[in-house]
Amino acid sequence: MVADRRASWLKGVLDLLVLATLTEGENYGYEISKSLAASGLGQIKGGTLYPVLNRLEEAGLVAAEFRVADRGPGRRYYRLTEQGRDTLTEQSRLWRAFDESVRSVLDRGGVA
Amino acid sequence: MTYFDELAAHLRDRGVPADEIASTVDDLAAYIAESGADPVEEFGPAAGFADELAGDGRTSAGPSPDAEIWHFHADAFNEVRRLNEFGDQGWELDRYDTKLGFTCRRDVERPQRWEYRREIVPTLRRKAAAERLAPDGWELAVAWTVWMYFKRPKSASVGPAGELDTTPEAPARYFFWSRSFYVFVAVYAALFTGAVLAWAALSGDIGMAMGFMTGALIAGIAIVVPMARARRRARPRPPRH
Repeated sequence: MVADRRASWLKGVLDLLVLATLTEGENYGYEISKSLAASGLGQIKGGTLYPVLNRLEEAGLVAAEFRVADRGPGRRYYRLTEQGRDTLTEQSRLWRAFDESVRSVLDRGGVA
Repeated sequence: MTYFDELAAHLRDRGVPADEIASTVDDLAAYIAESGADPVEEFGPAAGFADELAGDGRTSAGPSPDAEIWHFHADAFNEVRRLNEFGDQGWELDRYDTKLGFTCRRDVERPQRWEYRREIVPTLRRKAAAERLAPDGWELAVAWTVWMYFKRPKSASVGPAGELDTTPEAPARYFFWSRSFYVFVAVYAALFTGAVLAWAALSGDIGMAMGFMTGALIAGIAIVVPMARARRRARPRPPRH
C-alpha cells in the first residue's frame, strides 16, 4: 500500500524531477536515475525513466545529443532547454502550492 | 537474438528511423553496462518498451512496476466480449499491435474491474468520438485503423463492486478465435480458391494458378509466424519490483 502510494506520487511528478536534475548541467540516463535514487526517491527503472525523457524531448523541454564513446557503446546526453527551464519554474511553483495545501489539511487534522 | 536486437526490431516495426534506433540501442546498452542490471528487469519486455519509446505508451511515467502484463489475440467478431470477460478479471487494455494482439495490464496491489466498448470511426473523426464518450467516463485505450476501443473502470457504473478482492490466474490461452471467424476464413479461402480455379480453367494457365495459391500460402505463413514468434517472446509478465 505504501509502495503503491509512493509510485502514484512519483508518477505525477517524475517529469518535473527529471527536469530538476538537469539544472546543474547535462547528464545521461543512468546518472539521472542514480541522482534521483540518491535523493531518496528509490530506484527509478530505465523502463520508466526513458519514456519520460523521450516525452520531454518531444515537448522541447530537453535537448538530447548522442555522443560516441572511445570505449563501449555511446550515450545520449540530455540538457535543459530554455522552454524546459521555464516549465520547471512554473510547474515547481504549482507543485509547491499543492504541497502547501496538503500540509495545511494534514496540519488541521492534527498530523504531526 | 539479444534483448537489444529484439528491441531494435520492434522499433523498426513502429517506424522509428534507423539512426535513432542505433543511438537508442547504444545508449540503453551503455545504461545496462554501467548498472549491471538485466535488460528485461530494467526496461520490461522489448515489445512494450518499444511502444513506450515510440510514443505509443499511454501512461505518463511508463508502465507501473506493480502490474502484471498479459497479451491475447481475438477477432473482430468477439473481441469486445472477450475484453469485457477479462476486464472482469482485472485486465486493463493498454495497447494493441498485430503481432502481440491486445496487451493488458493488471494492478497487483489494487486490481479493479474494467469494461470496454468499441467504436468504428474514420481516422479523422477519432477526436470527436473520444470527446463524445468522455463525459461518461470512457477513456481511449487503443485506436487501430477504424477501430477505437474505450475502457472505463467498472467502479464508474457499479461503485465499490468494481474492486476485485481476488484475481484469477492469467488465462493460459492466447488465441480466442470465434466460430464466426473460422466460418469467415473458410468462406474467404473457398471463394479465393474457387476464383483461382475458375480463372485457371478459363485461361488454361495452371502455372499461374499454382503461383496464386503458393503466394496465398506464403502470405498466410507470413501472418502466422511473426504472431507465434512474438507470442513465444512475450510470456505473461509478473510484476517488476
